[in-house]
Amino acid sequence: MLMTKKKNSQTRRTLLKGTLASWLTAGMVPFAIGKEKPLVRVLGTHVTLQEPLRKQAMEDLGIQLAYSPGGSAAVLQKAAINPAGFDLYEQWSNSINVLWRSDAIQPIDTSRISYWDEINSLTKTGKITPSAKIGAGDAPHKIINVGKNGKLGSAFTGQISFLPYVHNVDSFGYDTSALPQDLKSQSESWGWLLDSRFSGKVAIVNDPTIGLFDLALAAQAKGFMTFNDIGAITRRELDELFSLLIELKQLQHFSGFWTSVPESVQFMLSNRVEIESMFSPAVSQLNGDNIPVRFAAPKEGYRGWHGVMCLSSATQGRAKDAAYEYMNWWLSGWPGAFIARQGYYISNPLRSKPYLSNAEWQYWYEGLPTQEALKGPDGKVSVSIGQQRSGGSYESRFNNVAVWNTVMPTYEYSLQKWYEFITS
Amino acid sequence: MFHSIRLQLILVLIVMVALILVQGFLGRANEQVLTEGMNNTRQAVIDVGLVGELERDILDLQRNVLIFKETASQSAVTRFERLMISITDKIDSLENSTLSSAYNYSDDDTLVRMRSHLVAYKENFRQVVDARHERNQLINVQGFFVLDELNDLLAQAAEETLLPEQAITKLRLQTAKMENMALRYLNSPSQEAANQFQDAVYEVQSMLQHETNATLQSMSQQVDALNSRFLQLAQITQNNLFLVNVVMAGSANEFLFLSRELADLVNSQTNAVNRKTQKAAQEARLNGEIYSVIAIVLAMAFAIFTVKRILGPIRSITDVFNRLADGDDVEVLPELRRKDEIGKLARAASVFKEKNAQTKKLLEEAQTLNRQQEKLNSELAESKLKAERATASKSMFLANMSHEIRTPLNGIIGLMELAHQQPMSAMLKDYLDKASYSSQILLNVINDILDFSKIEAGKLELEKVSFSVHSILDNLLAVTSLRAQEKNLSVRLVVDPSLPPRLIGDPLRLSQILMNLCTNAVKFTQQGEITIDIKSLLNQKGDNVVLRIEVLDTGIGMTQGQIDRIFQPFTQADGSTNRKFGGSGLGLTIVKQLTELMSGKLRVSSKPDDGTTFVVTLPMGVTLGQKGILASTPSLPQGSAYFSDKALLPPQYMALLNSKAVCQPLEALKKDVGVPPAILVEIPTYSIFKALLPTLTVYERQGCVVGIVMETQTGQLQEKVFNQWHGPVLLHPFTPSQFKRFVHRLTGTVDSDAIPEVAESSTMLDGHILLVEDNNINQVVTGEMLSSLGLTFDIAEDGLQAVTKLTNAPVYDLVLMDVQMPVMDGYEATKQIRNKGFSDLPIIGLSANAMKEDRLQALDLGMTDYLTKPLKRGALAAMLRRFLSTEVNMHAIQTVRKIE
Repeated sequence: MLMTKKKNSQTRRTLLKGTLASWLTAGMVPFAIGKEKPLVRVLGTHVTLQEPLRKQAMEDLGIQLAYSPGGSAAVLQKAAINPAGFDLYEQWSNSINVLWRSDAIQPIDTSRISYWDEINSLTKTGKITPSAKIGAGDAPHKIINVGKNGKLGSAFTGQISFLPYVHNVDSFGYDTSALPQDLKSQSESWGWLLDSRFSGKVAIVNDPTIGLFDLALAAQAKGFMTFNDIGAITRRELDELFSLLIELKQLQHFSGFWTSVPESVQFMLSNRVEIESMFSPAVSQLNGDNIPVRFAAPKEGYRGWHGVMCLSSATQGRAKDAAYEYMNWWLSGWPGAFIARQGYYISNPLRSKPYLSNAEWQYWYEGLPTQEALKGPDGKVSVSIGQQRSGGSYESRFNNVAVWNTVMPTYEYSLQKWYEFITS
Repeated sequence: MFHSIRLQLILVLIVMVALILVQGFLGRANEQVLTEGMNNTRQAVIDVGLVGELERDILDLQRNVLIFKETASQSAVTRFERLMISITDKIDSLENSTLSSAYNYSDDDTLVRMRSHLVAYKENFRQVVDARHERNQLINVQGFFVLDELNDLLAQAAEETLLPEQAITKLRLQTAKMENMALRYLNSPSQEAANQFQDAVYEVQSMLQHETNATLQSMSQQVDALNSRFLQLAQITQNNLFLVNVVMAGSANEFLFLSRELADLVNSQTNAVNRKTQKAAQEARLNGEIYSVIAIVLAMAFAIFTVKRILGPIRSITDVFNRLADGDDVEVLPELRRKDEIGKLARAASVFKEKNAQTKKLLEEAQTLNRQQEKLNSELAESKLKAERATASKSMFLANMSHEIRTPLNGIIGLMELAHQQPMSAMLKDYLDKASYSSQILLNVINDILDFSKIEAGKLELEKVSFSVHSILDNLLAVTSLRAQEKNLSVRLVVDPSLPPRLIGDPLRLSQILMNLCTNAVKFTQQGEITIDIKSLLNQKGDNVVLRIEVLDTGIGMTQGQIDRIFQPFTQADGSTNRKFGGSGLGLTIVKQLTELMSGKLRVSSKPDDGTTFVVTLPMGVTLGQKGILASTPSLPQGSAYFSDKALLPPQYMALLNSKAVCQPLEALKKDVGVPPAILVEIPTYSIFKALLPTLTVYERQGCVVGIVMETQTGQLQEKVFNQWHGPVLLHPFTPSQFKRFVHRLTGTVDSDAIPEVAESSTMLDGHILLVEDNNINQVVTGEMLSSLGLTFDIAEDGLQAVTKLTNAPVYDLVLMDVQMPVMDGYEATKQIRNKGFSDLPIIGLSANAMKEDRLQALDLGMTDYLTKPLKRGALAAMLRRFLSTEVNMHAIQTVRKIE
């Protein structure tokens, strides 16, 4: 069985190479023959809707791509209400439940995903390595498979609600130069976010599906309270957590709540905060600007997130074919390498390895100290010689996911509590 | 340098002014700082107020969002929009605040970020409003709940037993659950309610999935529609919750943070401004005080300085002066050692003191001198008187000049005139002519001097009479060649053949000009030649001609500086000229003056050692219809021969001869030249003449007329030439008439234009004359003239004698009355004669005064006419002929000659 699978996948790989070769001979433009180029409209966020990617994809595929980047909530709302308004939807796994429930997306056929077999086990078994712990909340493998009953589950059916591609683990970043002396000897902990030594210098991402977990992990790490299931916090637990947070807010522990990556950069740059929830690109950018920000590897584990690429329920025909081509392109290596330089991982990393220098691969994926300065996508040096990625290799980081970004059953309630919190 | 009080005072003044300026400047700066501070403070207060209002507005905004969320009130929306405008305005005012630069907003883009949050907030609120509207549509308009319909359908299904009872019951339960959950979700949105709603929907649908009955299918469709509406509602609700609770709350929070930051910024800036203003004010006050103290100290120092250093000393020196002025003796002078103005004043006082003493001395001296002066003055007055007398006698002398010089000159001229009457050789006649003419020139020189003074006085008047060019040229050459011969200079005269022979103008002045130029040329030329070139240009009417007289010499020449001087009276080209060349230095001055008087122009060009050229252009009148001076020159006969080594005749003269003969060298004469009707030979020197003479004589004997043209020869050589050659000969210089005569002789023709040479000599007069003349020589000269005219005369020595003689024996046909005489002058005598009844007796005045007014005076006083001395025979004869009868008697002439 094992042999067969291996053999099978090898055959597929050979086949894929053949397909690639035929593309090359056809001038890389499989859709350009005869008809007008098909248009693929992509709705999503700035994380993946980047102009270099669009250009490269259009060049490689000979299709038209229209990117409509927007804020998380806005794009979700748009997608849920009007599936005809997009072909592909790119966001995080926490939006899947909403989209699926409102029939905005259609199942994706794994047989049309050229590199399905190369996709690693994170979205298949939930464990990147056998010893990995499965994070709390909506772990991607729990909501990827479309069950016979139309519900999303962890059992493989050949139909998936989203294409697994970009993902990462987030934590918080802090200015190492501002780290209080007595914390330096301690291992990094979510609890620092609520540490009184940082009072007034803390910022949290303004999104309950993300920031709430940062704060919950912090409260738990600090020993203020415990959660039965941190991926499904109950109303009572929320009440307790927020009463604590509101108290801290009124003590002006929190300096701000950022809504975008540039804003989080600005907070740190202006020295408004010393520690905050962060996304990987912000850390790269700040390091590029010589701000000694370290992306923490908290001992309690990371907050994981998984990107999703969903196919609109309204997309059919040539646009659907083109959408599949685009999905396959994303896993074809170059895009994975491109986003690797921003600190993101791709679901089939080996396909991107040839597109990365050895040093890049070692730094970004293997978590080794770099032998040379590495440049970000903007051409600026974001990693200087000798730096090592916090949290170690891809595997060791994903072995330690404490919780996934999740839309909990108490989501609506959490929104109310969030409002109370930030307006208090 | 600073020893001068003036400088010290100026320095002090400058320091004071500078202090005042600094103080003024400081005051101004302080005022500015204070004003600015006040303005800034005012602005800061306004800004602080604005920021406070901003915060309040944001809170109000949030309040209205909540109100809308709860009540969907339209007024909340309106209020929201107004607040938005108000907030935007406030941000604008803050941005435009005069202090905005001080706030350094740009550091972290506070205002920009506020704006962007505001924009996002507004946009989100719009979405909230829209979503609320959609929710209302879903619930109220479209009929969200369909439970009644479902129940009806269920009742119908139960009636029709389409499903078993149990299933119906279950379906009822599930539909009730759906309603329940939907209501629960509406009331309090939660995932749990939504999930339970969906579970119920799933249950119902799974039960109805395979039913084909229309009622059940309709039910299934209703449930599907309900589910879809619910999902939409849930999505809207969630999104709205997210927008309001997360996004908008976040924006507002951030906005409030920023506005608080802004408030801090504005406050701290305000404080800074205040502090700065206070500090500036303090500094200003301190500076002002320091400067005031300095100014006061300086002013006092200045006052002390003034009193001690200036006023005191001045007072003491003033005392000294006062005492000195009073004549007191001052022994010691103060402040003498000082180097400034006071010191100078002191020194001045000492000088004053010394001067005082000196003045006394001087006064005494002056008094002495005064007395001497008075004496000198009286002597001076005496001298002046003497000088005036001397001037008067000089004037007298000058006035008498003409008379005194002319009288003997008249004698000479008269005697020469008489000599002229005697038969003599042509040579002698020529010499006599020349001597006579020279005398005339001498007279003219004297006249020059008088003329000059007349011209200077503007009293010279030009004659305008018709005159012959021939005589002018004859005279000119006579004088010039005579002088040139002395130096062996060649002289050439070239006259434009078309020059009219008679011109109208002042002949005397014209010849004066010519003569002066030529004598001048001869005078300053040692060797070479003098060329006189006269050209004429007739105007179109033919009544005016412009003479262009060029006198060119090969003499010593002049520099430009000398040229500039030569026309000044009594001046020559340089001081040594007078020694070398003599002369009055008046000639050229008169030429220039005369030329200008005659409306002509005089130009001179010269270079040292390269000769001088004078060019005079003179306008002259001309009588109409004249032929040119050489107009009727005959052509040489056909076949005439022409021999010359060097052309001696001017080309224009040659052209007149109309000769077609080829010029052959003189050598050719020695060969057989045949027998041409005329031979023209040009011979440069006497030696060649001598060599050629035998040959030429041979030709002459053969019947050829041989005409010789020769270069200027000295008098003796001329004589020799004339003696050895009796054929036509022409020696340079020659006049046009001489040339013409020569050609006539050469061609054997007769000159019809020739003026009869002796015309009047044989005309004799008849009458008895009383000659009143005091000068013995003049008595002889005039007497001889009268005798030679066949007249008899008596002599009266003065006017009185004349009157007496006439009264005693009134036998005279005419009286010649000299004007200036002792005892009784001519005027007085005439008056008395007329008074005695001799009113018809012609009385002709004789006077050396050539001026017109003399003549007028003479006529006024009763004289019949007037003659100017020296008397010329021709003029006298012409005059007498008017009053006396003519008697042509050759015998009488003979008689007269015998008497001589």
